[in-house]
Amino acid sequence: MCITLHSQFGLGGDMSLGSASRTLTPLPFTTSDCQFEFLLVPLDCPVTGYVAPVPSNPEVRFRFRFQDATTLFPSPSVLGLSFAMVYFSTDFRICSLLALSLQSMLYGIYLITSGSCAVALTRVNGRWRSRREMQLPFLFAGLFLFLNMTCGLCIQFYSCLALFVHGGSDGSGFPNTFSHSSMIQVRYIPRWC
Amino acid sequence: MVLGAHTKKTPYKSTQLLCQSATGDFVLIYRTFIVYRRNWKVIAPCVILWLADIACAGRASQLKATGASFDQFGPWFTAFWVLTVAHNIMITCK
Repeated sequence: MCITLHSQFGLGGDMSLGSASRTLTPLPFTTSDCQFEFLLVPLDCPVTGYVAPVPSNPEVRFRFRFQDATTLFPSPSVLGLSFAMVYFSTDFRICSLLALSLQSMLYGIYLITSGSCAVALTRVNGRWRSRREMQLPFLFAGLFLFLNMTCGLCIQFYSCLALFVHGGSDGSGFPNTFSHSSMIQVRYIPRWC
Repeated sequence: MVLGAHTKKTPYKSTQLLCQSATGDFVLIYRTFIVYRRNWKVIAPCVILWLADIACAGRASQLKATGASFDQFGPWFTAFWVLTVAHNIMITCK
């Protein structure tokens, strides 16, 4: 069973999905949910999910889950699409790249300042501080912050890597960078159920 | 609801950010604690705020990890950031 977003869901070409339509292939059909659900995976990965009718609320015709592109881990969020503003992934990818650039620059500044702090915490008058002189809570907190910050940068880098390099169902990645059908993202999701 | 195996989620990025903020707040509290000559009464309100902060962060991460919608985990994130800002202002003014 295949569903095309453009036609089936009534999202007009001028609205947000543009002229491109997206064909979704729902996974096991389930009626117990009484809601349409399916999973949108960014980066042109195979789309999987669930579909079910919504007899109770005619305005809410479906739900969908899509992979959180900010983390790029197989972890869908449950979102309502019927009232949502949907736009393409180009902005998101550029924003991710800008975020990585900015984060890298700030991380460089952070490295220098944290190095100075580490020196101040561990050395005094050209010698190592004794254990009694050291402020261990500050030292451990600084170390944790440094590791955490590095980890965050790695995650952001991985996100961008996945967005720009590993994207594409055919594995081509970079040529599909601005493919309009690669991903959709919900920008505004009001309470609807 | 049809929330199967796809529902589970590991919000690495947001958890990392929350950890970062919570640790930074702890450092601020500890610094105030030292500056005020280890007077617990001075930092007690800040510690309460910090604990509430951590609770909000934990709840937000948990909801996000279980695939909750933004409507569900959004208020917890908002509460977390409001508490963080309030805590920072409070501890800076001391």
